[in-house]
Amino acid sequence: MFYLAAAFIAVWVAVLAYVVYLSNRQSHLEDELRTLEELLQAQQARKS
Amino acid sequence: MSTIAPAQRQTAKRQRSGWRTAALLLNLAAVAAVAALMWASLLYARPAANLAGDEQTAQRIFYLHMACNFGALAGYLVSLVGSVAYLLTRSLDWDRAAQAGIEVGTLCGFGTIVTGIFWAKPTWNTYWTWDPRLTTATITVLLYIAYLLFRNGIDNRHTRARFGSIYALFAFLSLPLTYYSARWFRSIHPVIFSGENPEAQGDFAIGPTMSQTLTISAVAFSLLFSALMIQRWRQLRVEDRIAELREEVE
Repeated sequence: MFYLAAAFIAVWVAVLAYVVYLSNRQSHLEDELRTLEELLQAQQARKS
Repeated sequence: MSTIAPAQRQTAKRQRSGWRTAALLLNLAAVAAVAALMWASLLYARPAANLAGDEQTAQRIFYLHMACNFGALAGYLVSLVGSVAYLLTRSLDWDRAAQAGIEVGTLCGFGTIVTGIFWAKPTWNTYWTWDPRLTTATITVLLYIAYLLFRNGIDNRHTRARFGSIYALFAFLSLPLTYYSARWFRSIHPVIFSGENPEAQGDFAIGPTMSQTLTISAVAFSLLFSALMIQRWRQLRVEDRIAELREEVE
């Protein structure tokens, strides 16, 4: 039973870790997009 | 111009909303299929009749082991198609597909090796042996990990894509070698599809419930692979777009 449990836990922990990595990356990208939007708005405001 | 821009924005918004709905449905289908895989592999499939004790219990690892194998194969096939398509079209979308395929494929390849390690102990009485199948499978995963490490060291986007595509084409050659390793060389690893290995240890006959469970595991990991790969592919697209916009702004 130990080997069966260990194999299943190892795989699902690895998949979960990858999902968490994707989720963190997504939040980081959304932050970067917001910063870029603010930069663009500031540039446009300066031009006008 | 002022009337076209809002219309284009509306179309883009509708497309984004369609993408989100499709991604949500795919994610839900993947979660349901994974739950079905757990039920089938742990409860539904009949135990192997020729095995006993720990060896019989550990045989259920087979379904997850094969599911990971399907995921890895799908990822490396996507990388092959993406790399060839990039070299022919020079469209970075193909390179992103290849990278996403390799990332998720390598995750599944890692799963194949780890499940194999835990299955080997009760069956072969050791966690690891330098069997041709185990060795070639590990080399394959290491080759693709090297792909991910090397390509990150190249700044120019198209140089990186060209290097990655050519590397991925050569790395793919390790897959047929892994597949045939248990047939061509002396190996104790069982052969499941098209043929058998008389020297295999821990081999078993596949009954109807086992074969159905194997189908469920293939479907589950195909859905899980697709969900993760598409998500990563979209992220890579946004990453590149952000890098372009940043260059424009600065």
